[in-house]
Amino acid sequence: MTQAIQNGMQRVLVAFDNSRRNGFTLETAAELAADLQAELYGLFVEDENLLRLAGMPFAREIGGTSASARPLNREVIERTFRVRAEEAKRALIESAQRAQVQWDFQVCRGQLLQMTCAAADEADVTIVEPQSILLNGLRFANRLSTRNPPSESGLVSPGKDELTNHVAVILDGSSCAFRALHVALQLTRSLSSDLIVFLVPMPGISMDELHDLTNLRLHEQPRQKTSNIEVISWVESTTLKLNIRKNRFRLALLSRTNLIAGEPLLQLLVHDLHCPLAFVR
Amino acid sequence: MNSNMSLSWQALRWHCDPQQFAFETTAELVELDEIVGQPRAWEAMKFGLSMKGDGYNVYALGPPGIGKRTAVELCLKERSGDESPPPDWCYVNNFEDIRRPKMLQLPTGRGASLRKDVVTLIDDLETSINTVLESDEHKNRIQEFVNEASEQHEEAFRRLSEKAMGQQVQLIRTPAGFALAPMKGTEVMSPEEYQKLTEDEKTRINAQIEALQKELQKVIEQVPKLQKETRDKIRDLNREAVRLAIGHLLAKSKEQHRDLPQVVTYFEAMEKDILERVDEFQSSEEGPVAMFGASNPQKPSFDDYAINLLVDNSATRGAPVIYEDHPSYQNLIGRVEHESQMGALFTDFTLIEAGALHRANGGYLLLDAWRLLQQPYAWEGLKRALTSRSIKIDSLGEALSLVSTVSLEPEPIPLDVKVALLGDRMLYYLLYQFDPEFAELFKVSADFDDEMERTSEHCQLMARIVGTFTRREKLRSLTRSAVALLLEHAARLAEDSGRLTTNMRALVDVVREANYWAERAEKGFIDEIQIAKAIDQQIHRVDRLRQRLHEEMGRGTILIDTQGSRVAQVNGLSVLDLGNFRFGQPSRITATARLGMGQVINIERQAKLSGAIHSKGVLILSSFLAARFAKNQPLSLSASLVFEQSYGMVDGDSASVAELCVLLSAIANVPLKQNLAVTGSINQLGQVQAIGGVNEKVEGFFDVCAARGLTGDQGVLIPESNIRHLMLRPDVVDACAANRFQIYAIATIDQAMNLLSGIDAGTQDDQGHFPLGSFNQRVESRLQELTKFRKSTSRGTRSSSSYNSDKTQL
Repeated sequence: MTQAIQNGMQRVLVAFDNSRRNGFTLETAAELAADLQAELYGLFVEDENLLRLAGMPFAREIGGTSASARPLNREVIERTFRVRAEEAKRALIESAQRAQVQWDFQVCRGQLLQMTCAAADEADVTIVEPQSILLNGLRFANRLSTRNPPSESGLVSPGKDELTNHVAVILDGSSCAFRALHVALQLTRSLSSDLIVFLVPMPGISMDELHDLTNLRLHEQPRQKTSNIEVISWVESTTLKLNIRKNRFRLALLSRTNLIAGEPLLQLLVHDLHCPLAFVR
Repeated sequence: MNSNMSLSWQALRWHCDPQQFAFETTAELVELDEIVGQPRAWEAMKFGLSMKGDGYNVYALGPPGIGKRTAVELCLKERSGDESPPPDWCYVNNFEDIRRPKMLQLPTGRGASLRKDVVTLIDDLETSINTVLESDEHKNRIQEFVNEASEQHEEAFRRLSEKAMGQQVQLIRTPAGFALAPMKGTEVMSPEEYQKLTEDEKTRINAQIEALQKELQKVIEQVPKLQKETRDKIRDLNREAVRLAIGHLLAKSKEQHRDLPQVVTYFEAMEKDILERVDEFQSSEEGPVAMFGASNPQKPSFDDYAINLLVDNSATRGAPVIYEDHPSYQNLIGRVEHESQMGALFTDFTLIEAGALHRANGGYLLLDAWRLLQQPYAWEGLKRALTSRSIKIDSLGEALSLVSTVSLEPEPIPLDVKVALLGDRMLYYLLYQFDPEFAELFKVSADFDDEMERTSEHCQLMARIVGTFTRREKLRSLTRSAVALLLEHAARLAEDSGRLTTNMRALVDVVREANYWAERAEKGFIDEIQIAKAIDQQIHRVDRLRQRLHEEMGRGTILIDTQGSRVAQVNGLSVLDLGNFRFGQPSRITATARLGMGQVINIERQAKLSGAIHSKGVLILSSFLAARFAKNQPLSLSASLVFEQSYGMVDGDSASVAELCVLLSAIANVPLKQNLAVTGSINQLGQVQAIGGVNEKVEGFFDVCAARGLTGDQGVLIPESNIRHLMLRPDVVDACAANRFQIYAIATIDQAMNLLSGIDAGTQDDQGHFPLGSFNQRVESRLQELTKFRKSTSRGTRSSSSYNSDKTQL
């Protein structure tokens, strides 16, 4: 019996869109797939909204850096999709081979969130890149940085070397969130990294109850001596933000329900989380 | 035989009496640190090294091994010890123009302490700056600025997005930016749906989107402005934080060195630069350059604030005396080194290396002239530095366009140095002749003598020099007999029994080798046996050619007669110089005489094997013949002279006596004794003049005779004026003392003819006639016969007035 079956994990999905990739998202996904002995599955979604817009006679693209307007051409968009999809596939294969996991890759066209959520239904863990259009649809952020020059799109994110090895779990008390905690514990054992659990309120369960329940689950799991585990109750959003900024996580895991709902919690997090997000089913 | 011309054996070699020395061995002697027998050079050096003023540098000229460098160093040792050590010199970064590093002149010994202080300061600065910039407080304050700007921008985006959504327009991401798309429900309207809209609706949507696009552009245009504002805020914050962190450190350093305004100014410039570059220190990016272990040229290094201590005189006592044994341009003037980083060359002020001029600045620099001139541009560089009185480091590679890297132009350092060039005489005269700057820059010449008078005082001093040498070289001491023999060798090297060589290198080599033989013989001291062995072994190692030639003479391959008499044949003597060894050998010279037009043909010259001086000698003897025998009548003679079995160049006039003798023998048909050899040069009046290499020449003939067995009547005729030069080998002297070999001193050609022919030469009477039967009378008669015969045969023929240029007209 494989560990994947024991864990009930069979697929780790990496969602791609036409935004530029960060290599470490794929590396993290591949490592996670290897830990869980799951298949690494890549999904490239060609954003239908963008294609529709490109068909309009008035369609203009405003440069993220230059602010100059230029015609938006459907052919160019199609070509960009093809190139980015090919790049994503190649990168996925390399990462899968390095981590020695099985892989699959698909390209589909449609509404970005719907298609991703649909694929996430079939996956145990869905990993989204920090600067993906999917997440940026939630934040519209043109983050300013004094160190890194803005990318072509105007969006920037920290380099791999600026991230720590720490793993975060956003735990809201749902069964998915506890599965996320289970995956996170497994990953920290494998990476010998620290784990920080953020407890966030959820209707129907008090913070104290959530705290006790979390500690219980943590004690049930075998512990890695070198890993530190910290449980932080979300008292207010500022505390959470400061902790997130301070730790510069390698990966943040949370319940898949957050992805589907596009909840305020997620909107809040994506402002400050510049690591890949793993949504656990 | 004219015994009055035969020299006594005592005249053949100066014997140094060991009893003149009061010591048993040189170990008893007091050390001597002075130069013997060079009063002129010594005075010149003292003058040149003491004389202030431009161009009073010294050229010490003399042959190698004579002790020029030792003399200069001794002279400087006397002077430099009393002088103050010069200042230290440093290079520091020029923060305003890094290509032109600045120099700092510091009091003697302060350079090292300043460097140490700056190393500590830099360490403290680095720690303080990193601590303050990496502190949570500082980072949080920066993050606040970033967040503030980010939030401002995000808020603008959010407002725009909400406004757009209110108008059923969605802000969406594109590959390179953003776009605004009309919505239908929750999705973007398709093109087909758009086409179905009325023109009014299309116009409205277009107008809405156009207006929103303008707003979007304004929002995006705010990004650089916000970025700049944020950067400025962060920079000000960094500066303020760093100023507080480093201010007290620099204040302390300035206080420590407040007596040095230059250094205080440097610290102020350092502080200004750190504050200007504070943002760069904050960078922690690790690019591929850093991965390969090389420093990132973009990121400032704290090494930029270090001190390059170019010259540290903290351990210098007195004025520095520097001898540069490899005086290349860069070793003299200094250089700017480069470091290779991933194939690219980098340099900075810390890679400036001092040259010999820097190290000798404020003191004295000794250079070997020949080595200096062999190095490309070194001589030019030295002259430029001396003329400009400053050391300016230029890259030769850059000047010659050999490399294309940008190098540094360090600030020139003022130069105050005395240069002593050591070289031979030829080089001195060539430089004086062909380099106009040489005379301006080297106004003092210290001319070292090759030899000195053999006085008792000099003998005693030489003994002390030898004793000093053996003590310092940890060699065995010499007995007084050994010293005496060494001094005899010194006289032999000087080729003068009344003088001693000043070539100390040759003498100490003998002492070193004698020490070796003493060690082999398990002797505690070096005595005359080891000295003699060392000299013999030195000769033995290099006399292969002499031995071969003598063997060939013994085997009859080279024809030399040492007995009997022959007409028109004489033994001349020549010297072969192999560089490290020279020896004499006899050469057969023959002549022929016949009826002719008054020509003496120099066959060597005809064959282009005669040097100018040899040709001159033959012309002189032609002139002598004409003056003595053809005052009133034409000479109807044609004669030829040749060095038999000579296959190389013949030069010098030392065979001219022999050549005249053999010519006269040929004319008079009188045989000459082959048991004698003759050397000496002749003048037009028939006087015999001194020649060089008299010892080697005598020994050359002696060796051939000795090999065949000395008969007692063998000997050599030498010029009378060469008697004082005789320092013959002991075996030759012993043979002469035993009357088995003779040395004759001659002053005139007539004396030579007397000895060689056994016939009195004869002296002209008042009428100009020679006594009947005398040698000269026979010559005169023969010439008269030839003249008569010529007159009788040339009647009716025309004489030519044109002569071959290779023939001498008598």
